[in-house]
Amino acid sequence: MGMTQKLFMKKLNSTLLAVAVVVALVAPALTLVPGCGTINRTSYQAVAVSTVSVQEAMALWNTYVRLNHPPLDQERAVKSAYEKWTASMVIVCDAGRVLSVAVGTNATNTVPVLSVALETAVRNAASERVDLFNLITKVTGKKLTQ
Amino acid sequence: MNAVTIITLIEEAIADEPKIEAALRAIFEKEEPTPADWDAARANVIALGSYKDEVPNSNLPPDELTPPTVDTPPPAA
Repeated sequence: MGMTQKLFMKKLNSTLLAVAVVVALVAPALTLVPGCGTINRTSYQAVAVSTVSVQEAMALWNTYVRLNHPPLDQERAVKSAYEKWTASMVIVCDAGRVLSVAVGTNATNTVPVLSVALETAVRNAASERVDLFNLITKVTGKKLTQ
Repeated sequence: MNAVTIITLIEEAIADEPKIEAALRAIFEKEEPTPADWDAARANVIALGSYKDEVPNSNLPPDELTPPTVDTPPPAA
């Protein structure tokens, strides 16, 4: 194993550990456990955590691409998954904003419906993130903590 | 793996990734998010950039690296 690959493996292990730590520490936020705060707050936390972990995963993927030149079809698949995740996160933020406005204006009749919409958006985004991580794991052979 | 080992691993991971430490602090210190907070989160997601930005070493042809349009204005209410 060359020096470059050794450095990659060191960075890879560091990244995987960091992602695992982030996900483990805020697992309640990712699963929207009732009682751990409002849907609005836990969803906000989930967005922040997911953004950090995907950023780390994409940095890992970039290094892998540089060193291993995977087939274009594999790159296309990761690109597609990344773009789906990004689009789903924008939907989450929009749903969160609408709910926050409703909560702030005491529009209590709409809050339940908007809460369900936000929760659904978060679950969809989480699914897209899992798909992205699974793809990167499949190609690189390194498991990313979900 | 015992608790001391886990804590050591966490400390090492956080020490290696200062931005993660900052993100964790922000997450746990945040109270009920406001519309402005969601706008900031949205901007943060979009600021991550396109696939081309995140994977500058990509071997995909340039015409495939045109980013999709996701940056529509946030809803008014």
